[in-house]
Amino acid sequence: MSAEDSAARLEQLAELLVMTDVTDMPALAEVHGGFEDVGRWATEEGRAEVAEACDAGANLVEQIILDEADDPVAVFAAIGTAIGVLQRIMTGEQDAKSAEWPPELKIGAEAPSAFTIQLPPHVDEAIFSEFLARQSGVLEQFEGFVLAIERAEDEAALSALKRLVHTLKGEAGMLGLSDVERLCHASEDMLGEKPASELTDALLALKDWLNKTFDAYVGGGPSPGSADAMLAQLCGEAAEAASQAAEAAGAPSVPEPRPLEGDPELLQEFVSEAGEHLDAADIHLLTLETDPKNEDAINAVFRGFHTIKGVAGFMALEEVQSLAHEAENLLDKVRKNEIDLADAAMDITFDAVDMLKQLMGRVNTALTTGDPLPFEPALPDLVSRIKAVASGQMDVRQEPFELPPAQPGQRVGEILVATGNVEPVALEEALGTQAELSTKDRVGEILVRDKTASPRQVDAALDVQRQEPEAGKTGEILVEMGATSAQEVADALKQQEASKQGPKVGEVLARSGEVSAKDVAQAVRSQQKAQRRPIVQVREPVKVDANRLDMLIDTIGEMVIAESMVVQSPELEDNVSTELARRINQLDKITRELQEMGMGLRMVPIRSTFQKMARLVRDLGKKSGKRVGFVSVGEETELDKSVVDKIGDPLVHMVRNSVDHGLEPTEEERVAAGKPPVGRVELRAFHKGGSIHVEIEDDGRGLDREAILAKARERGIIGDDDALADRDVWALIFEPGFSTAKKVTDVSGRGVGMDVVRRNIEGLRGQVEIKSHKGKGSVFSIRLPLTLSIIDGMVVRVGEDRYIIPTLSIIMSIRPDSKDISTVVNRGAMLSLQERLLPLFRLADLFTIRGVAKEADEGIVVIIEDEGRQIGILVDQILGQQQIVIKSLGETMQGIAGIAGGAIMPDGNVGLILDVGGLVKLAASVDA
Amino acid sequence: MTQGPAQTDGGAASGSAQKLAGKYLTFKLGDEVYGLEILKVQEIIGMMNVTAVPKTPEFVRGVINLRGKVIPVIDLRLKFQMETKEDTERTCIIVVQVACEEQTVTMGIIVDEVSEVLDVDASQIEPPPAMGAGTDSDFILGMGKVANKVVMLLDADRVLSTGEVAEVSGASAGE
Repeated sequence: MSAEDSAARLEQLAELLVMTDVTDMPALAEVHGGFEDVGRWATEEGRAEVAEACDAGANLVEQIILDEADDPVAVFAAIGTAIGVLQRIMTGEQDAKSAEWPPELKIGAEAPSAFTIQLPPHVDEAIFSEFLARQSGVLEQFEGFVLAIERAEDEAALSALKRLVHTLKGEAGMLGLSDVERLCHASEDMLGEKPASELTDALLALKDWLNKTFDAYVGGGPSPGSADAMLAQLCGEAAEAASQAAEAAGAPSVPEPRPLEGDPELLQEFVSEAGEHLDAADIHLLTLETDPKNEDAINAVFRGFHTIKGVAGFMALEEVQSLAHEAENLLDKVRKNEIDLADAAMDITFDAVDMLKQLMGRVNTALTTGDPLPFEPALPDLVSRIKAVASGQMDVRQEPFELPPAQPGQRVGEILVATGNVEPVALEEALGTQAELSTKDRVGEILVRDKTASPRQVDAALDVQRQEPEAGKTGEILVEMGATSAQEVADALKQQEASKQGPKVGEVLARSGEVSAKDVAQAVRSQQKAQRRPIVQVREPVKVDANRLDMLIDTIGEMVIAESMVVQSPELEDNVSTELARRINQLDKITRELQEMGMGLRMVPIRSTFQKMARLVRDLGKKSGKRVGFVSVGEETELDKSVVDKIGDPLVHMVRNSVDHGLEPTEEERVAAGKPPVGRVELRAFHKGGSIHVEIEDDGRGLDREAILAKARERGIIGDDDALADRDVWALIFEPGFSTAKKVTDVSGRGVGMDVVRRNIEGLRGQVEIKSHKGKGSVFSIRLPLTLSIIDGMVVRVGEDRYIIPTLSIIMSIRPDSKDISTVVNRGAMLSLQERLLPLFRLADLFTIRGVAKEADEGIVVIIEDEGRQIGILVDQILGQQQIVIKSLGETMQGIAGIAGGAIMPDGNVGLILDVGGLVKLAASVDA
Repeated sequence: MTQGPAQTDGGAASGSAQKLAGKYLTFKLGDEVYGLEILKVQEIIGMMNVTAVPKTPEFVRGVINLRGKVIPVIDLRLKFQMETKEDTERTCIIVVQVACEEQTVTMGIIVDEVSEVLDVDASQIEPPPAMGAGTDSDFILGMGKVANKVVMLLDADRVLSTGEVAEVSGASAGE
């Protein structure tokens, strides 16, 4: 479509509009299409203003068509005006930027931004962004602490949590994030009042809220609920409100199923009608999410609720009626601009829609089955929450006065002087008093406490000291006596210094009346905040585009290669001056360090993923009513960032599986099986055999072999008489749609999860393996290759080709004696090694390489192991060992049996890295 | 409403010729001249050491190190079932970027010698000859006739498609 076409199209639309009116649907549809056509053209041409106007115009037409416009005639006129303006822009009579659009198009209005942050004038934007960058780490810690407290009333974690919240509060206050500050303050209060373990839910909800809030500040991210709603939840006011609501309602909601009243046909009609309303409400709410002031959408949602309420009342569906009523009230307030349909109000409206859908679904079920309508237990809570949001509960608290945060490392006295609370002279005096009042542990006492010297020896040394004052210090005498070593005395002296006890400067100052205790307390708080700052400065202070990182790593790789080419160049072999050799050495060392750092850049610990799982286990446990203890081991195991990102999904499914199906449904069952009542789920990560292993273990029922077999037979996956090894039986659960669960819960049981697990793991070129003992539990092991990382490799030569075998998979290498090799039939060879027989393969045969040592005893056998299976691989020569950077061979070369990847060798050529697992399998297939 | 202005589309043959017109890098295999769309060509490098990769079809010569990146290299002579020939000093590798399952894959193709960059006009392009069954003319987009020379315009994406490589590698693994 060209500019002329577009102009012609507009002309045509203008004509059409003159000839028609609001009721002419076909014409309106034509106009709608015209706007879309021109809009597409404008988008392609990059004329954003025109495109926007066309979009808005199309929307207006839509409103008329869907009968959503309050004043269709006015809207219709606006459309006409808009087309006129568009035409003028197209002919160049008017500049697109200065065009005056009719107000109905809502063009040029400020895009409503839910998160405008007013930074206080003294706050630098850089500081703010740095603060945000740190928060994901901080919140992870937060969650970790909360879970630790719930697990074991961990005192250390509790105080760490308090410090963290306090710091966050302080920082948020400084940055003008009053919501965050308020919430942190409230949680601090609560942490002081109630045992933290009871607050887990509230605190975790707070963490989620903070997370969302910070994400939203960063840009993108869904809007968190409003701070007030969060606060209400935090303070348990929602719970109170709920109980009040229940009382106020005079307990009409007898939690018993009631048979359906009313005409089934009418009910059926209502079900489908309500469904339409609710679906429409969902769509309008989504519109509102981006355009919170869209009155048409608000009205449409309101009308939906209103209609449902009316009909539900008529049909005696009390639950539906009461919920729709509350939702309608809420929307009414929104309509009247009493509250904003953002944050909590938005969420709760969505909840209401969902709940209504559920309720209607039940009505439908009840209609078809004829069963009585079950009572929805979550309803009163939702209704009271809606009420709470509708009443716009606020919680205004007095903010405590706070000193600005101190510089890190500043001492209390200095802070007080800096804030003008104390004169420098007074501080000097106080420091003097402090020194006088200081007491120290004595060296002798420390040594006795550490059991390095016996009390008697110390006594003797003290005697000597008293008798001969020139003999020196206690420690020295003890050393002379041979009672202890000089090193131990030095340690003791260090301890002595550390144990120095005396009143703190602040105390001295306060006692002397120089300053009030409150000022000192504030100074101390400010100091603590400053001191804790370095602790909070967790990882990822700089965010770098992953592509740049990859480029950097690639370039480092090239440099390493170039460096080794230079170093190994023949010109340097003879007559190298020592000076040059030294410099080359230096260069070599730096290059290596650089390479290691480069590789480390992409590696991140799996910690954050594990922490998410900790949370998941907890939530799942709550949901299913099981008590579950979660243990994680190896959180610091480092994986490539992309792998960490991708392993999350499969882990979620496996953890769900373990908690929902693995663990026994009741504690009685566990106790009866001789297990502790609390279930255990353990997550482990570690490096082994050149791969990364991630394992999840539960001590539940274990997989039911018979049930799986029965199901597999039923589905025809296996034959009736197939005898399968355990391993193969367990593998069946990865079949899509395979589930032995008798009922599907909302957590798992549909048989989708394990299929997802397998696909994702295979996507990472990894493997999943299951070990399970009935009644004892199961272990799911994921084995992942180390993508993009350095491995230690043994370089071997076969013919003219070089291959690299990951050192971790090598058991040993030997030069075989011909008498140790026995040939079975005419193909398979066996190597007898330390009274064991190992299958022996020539790499040359497996890979069809020409020009290779003919006799086995001319080469070298490398014994490699994979998953407990050992085989011998015959190569011509071992060239040496070196660090290898694994490089992918590219899309086209993936999945070649026995080859894991490539590596750039020091001479610039490519060496191939053997995939030991694949090789063992390949060998097995040749064997068979 | 969906009615838009009708798309003006000329005859099918001339339309495709129109699309094919442009600059081509020409190279030789034996006596024949082939052309590769210039936009697909990343660079031309001299012959270098190629590491053979086992379990791949014969026409896959192996992999090379292109400034730290490992890329596969294909011997076009073998791919076109021509006789192998010793590498000469004119043998070189054309590094191309081909589309493959929505991804761009970098690959090298070994050719006897690179000739020139040729501007091929739409009028000079004829549709590929319909050869008998058994001839692999799929990857020939058209025949360019420029100054009494015939240039076979190759569809790089097809010639080097992953699917085929994988398929053939699977077949050879099963041997």
